[in-house]
Formats: sequence, structure tokens, C-alpha cells
Amino acid sequence: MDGQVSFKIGDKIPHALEDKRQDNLGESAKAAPFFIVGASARGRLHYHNDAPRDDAFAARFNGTWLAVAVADGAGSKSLSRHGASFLTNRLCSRLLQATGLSNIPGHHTAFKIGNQQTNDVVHAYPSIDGKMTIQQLGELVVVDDEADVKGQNQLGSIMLKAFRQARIDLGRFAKRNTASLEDFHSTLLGLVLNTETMEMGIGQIGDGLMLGLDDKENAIILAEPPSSDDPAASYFVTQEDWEQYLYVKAMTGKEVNQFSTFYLMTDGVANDCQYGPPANILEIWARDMDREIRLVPSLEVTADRLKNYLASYKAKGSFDDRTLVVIYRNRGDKTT
Amino acid sequence: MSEHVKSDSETTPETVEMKVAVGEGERRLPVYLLLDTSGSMAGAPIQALRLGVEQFKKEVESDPFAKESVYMGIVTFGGEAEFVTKGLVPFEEFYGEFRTDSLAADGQTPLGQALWLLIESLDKDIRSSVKGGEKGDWKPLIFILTDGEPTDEWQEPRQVILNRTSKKVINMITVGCGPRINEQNLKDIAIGPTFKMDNDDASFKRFFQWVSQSVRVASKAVSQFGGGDKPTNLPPPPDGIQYIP
Repeated sequence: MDGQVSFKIGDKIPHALEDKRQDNLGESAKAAPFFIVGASARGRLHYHNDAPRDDAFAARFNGTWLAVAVADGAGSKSLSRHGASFLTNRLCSRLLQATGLSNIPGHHTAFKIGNQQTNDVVHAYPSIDGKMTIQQLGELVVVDDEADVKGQNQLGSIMLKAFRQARIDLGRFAKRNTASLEDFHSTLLGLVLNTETMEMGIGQIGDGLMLGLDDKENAIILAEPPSSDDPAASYFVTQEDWEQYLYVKAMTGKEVNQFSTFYLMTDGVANDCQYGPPANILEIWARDMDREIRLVPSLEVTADRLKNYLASYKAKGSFDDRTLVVIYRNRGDKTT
Repeated sequence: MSEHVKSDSETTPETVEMKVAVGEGERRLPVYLLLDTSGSMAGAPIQALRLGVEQFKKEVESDPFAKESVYMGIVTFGGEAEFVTKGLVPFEEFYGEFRTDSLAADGQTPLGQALWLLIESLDKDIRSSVKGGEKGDWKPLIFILTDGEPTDEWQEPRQVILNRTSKKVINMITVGCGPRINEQNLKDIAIGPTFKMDNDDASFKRFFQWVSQSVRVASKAVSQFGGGDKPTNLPPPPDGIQYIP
């Protein structure tokens, strides 16, 4: 779309370990036909423990491609807040860098290795439903990197590579600061969306939720990464065997077009919106949020409302930082 | 660009709070205390136990996060094992209704029975997360306080606990108390770290302070690396509670 203004919103990338961060943050921007409203709020427990907000979000737009990321730094690691803000920023910039270079064609197809062909979904865990493992995908990317970027399936491999590069970047930041990668333990959820063709790539490791609200107001979970049955445990992009737990998926423009609203959130919000009673809380929550986010014309006001909401709503046993980015468009603004 | 939907309300939009439903499910921290109330605890030890539990109640009550999350299960084993809280109950209910003077020392030490009651409760009461359904519980914290001289068959229920593949028990702490602690038995019984404490009022007090601190730490659980097979990081035990290697 001509004349679109690029932007960068969300938490700032840290340059030094002394960098401070805001307790609560709400920002917004427009990437036509989409609006982006994001907010992050320091949790009750973090206030109580005099600990900073460990969540972060970032969004960047280059006129065509929109990249959005959220992350939750592990409370058990003192530098994790820097991990979260570093990773969200670097994932976005790496995604835009890759899409800018790749001249993505207007469709996507399948990954192909030897005789094995998969559809667009690439699961991180080994051979579920006969689909490709991330290790196989990794081989493809590493062995035939250039061909992959110029060929098909870029969004899945671009997402994977952006995760890898963001992690390497964080490793360098850690080294510069004489820390280890593990000191920055953080989850990471990201999406990259072509605002013209509506093709989208998503990736997630660890807790949190990526959700879409379709035209029939069904809330659809977009990513299902491996998760632990222990709510205190999570998987982090900073851990050694991280690729085992990464989920990457590419979506066609047609698939994306059925949605008017997308939600990316850390577990501080996800834990309050996906567990009942009531049984259909996810749908109720997604519809309520969709209505509220569209209520006020001003994006700035909406970002402020979202920030205030995240900082103040009450749910029993909900003490964690809360971060939510909503990407939405008016329902008439669908590409065909 | 198309237009935004405008609010029909006369209220200034800037002041309108978002009205978004959230799930009513709560993430609970189950805490089990398995307390030896056999005849060997008669006299000063049972009195110290009562005071210790009373102190535990007060300390957890004073923590806004812990009292909101903690669910209590109290099993006594003296003469017969009894689930005195009748399963896991909200801390507020335990605080209001559980009377420590109901703890009385009598009879033998049926630890095996107590472990079977624990297993039943783990199966029945502990919740796993179900998306669109219930919010799963934190990993239970289990404290066993005994002199290490069980009088019934405890090996089988212990093995059943060890063999669990779901709702696994990874935070079980065994502490020896009373005038005649059998350290070797304690080690054999234990699943997880084993301690012994001195047989005086102050040690009971410190033990329950440690339990309260552990509960308060666990109720503020922070995300941890991995798939959940590691024990929760609990505070180190205080003086008067010695680790049995």
C-alpha cells in the first residue's frame, strides 16, 4: 500500500543492563488496513517483590510487512526483562530484514524434502502426523539457504531463521555484558504479516497465546507449541535445546482473510482468558476484547485504555505481568 | 481506510474502562501436611505441633498472595490415618475452621494409610490444565512430619507415589521429629529431601516457619526452565532442622 508510514512501537531494545523500563506501557500504530494496539503491565507480584516488569512487546512496520512479538522473561532470572525486550525487538527487525530481502511471492506452498511433502504447518515436535520436524526444516534452511529464501515456503523458514538470528543477537549482547544466554531466559511469540497479500508466518516457544477471531466470532488458537503440565515451568528460546519446543506455521492469505482480529499475549493474560468457568471463556473474552478495542476512534486512547485495563483487572490468583497486542482491521477491509 | 466504530455512549471515551470477561478458574497451590500424631508424640511434642500449625495458619494468612492460592490438605496418622480436612480445602476455610486443639497423640503410626489417603487426594483433587476448561494447579507441596517408625506397610504406597506418571509428586519433604527418630527409616520412606529436627518447642516453631516460608515462596511461583520435573526452589531450612544426607 503506497504512502504507508513505517513505525516501531513497544518496549525499547536494551543497550546496557542498567537500562530502566516503564512499569506500564501502551502504544498504538496503523499499518493499513490494520490497526495495532499493544500494552504491557507490571504484575501485582512484581510490585510486591519490588521486581520490574519482565514482559515485553514490540511491533515494526516497513510499509508492507508488519512484525509483532511478545515475550515473557522468566521470573527466576534477574536479566530476563532485558531478554524479553531484546528478543521482541530483534525478532521484529530480523523478520522485516528477511522479508525485505526475499521478495515473497503471492502464495505459499509446502516444504519439500526428498519424497516427503508437508503442508504449511511445521511442528516443532518430531514427526507428529508425519509432518516435518524442525530439525529437518533446519537442514533445509542451512543446506539450501539462498534457494529457500528465493523459492517457496519463505514465511515458515523466515520465521525460523529470525528466531535463530534473534537468539544469536541476544547471545552477543549477553557476551558483551559478561552474562550467559540463560540469564536472559524468555519465551517468544511472533508474527509477520504482509498487509497486501495477507500471508502470515507465526512462531512461538513457551507459554502465551496467539489467537484469531474469525468472521463468525469464533476464537481460534493459531499456535500450539509443546507445553509442560506444570504451570510453573516453561520453555525458553534461550535454553539449549530450544528448537525442540518451537512451533512455526505459515498461513495463506486466504486463511488469514477469515480473521479480522489477532491477539498475541503472554501467559499473564492467556491464563485468565482460556480457563473457565465459564467453559467458552476464550470466545467470550475474544469477543469482549474485540468490541472494546474498536469502541473508541482514537488509537492513542485505546492503547491507554488497554494499558489501564491490563494493569487493573482482577482475577483470582492472577499476579503476573500482562502483555497483549491486538492487531485488527475493519471487517469491510478484506482483500479478495 | 475505513471508519472506526463509534461509541454510542455519552460517557467520555477516555474514561470508559474496558469491560472484558475473564475466566473464573483459579490456579491453586495444594499444600499437604502429613502429621504423625501417634502415641510417641504425646506430651510436649503434640503441644508443640499444635502451636506450630497455629503459627503456620497465621503466617500464611498474613500473605495476600499465599492465602489466595493455597489449598490445604491435613492428614494425621495416630492410631488411624485420617484426612482431617476431608480433602483439599481453600486456605480461608482451613484458617477459619481447623482447630489445632483437635490434634491429639494416640495409638500407633500408620504412615502407609496416610500415604494412601494422600494418593487418593492427588488423584481426585489435583487439577491439570485443560484449555477451555480448568486452570491447572501448581505442583503440590507435601510435608511429612514423623518419627520414622511406621507401624504399617508403607513401601507399596511409597512406590505408587514414585511411579506416578501424571500429577507427579516432586515436592515432598520428610522431616523427622519426636524423641526417637529413626534416621535410616526416614531415608527409606522419603521421596525427596529428608531432615530431622530437634525435639524442642523452638524447633517445631522453626519447622512451621519454614513450611510457611516455603508455601509463600511457592505461591509466588516464577517461571522455571524445563518441563516441570524439577522441584520448586524452596528456602533453605532454618537452624534446628538438619539435612540427613
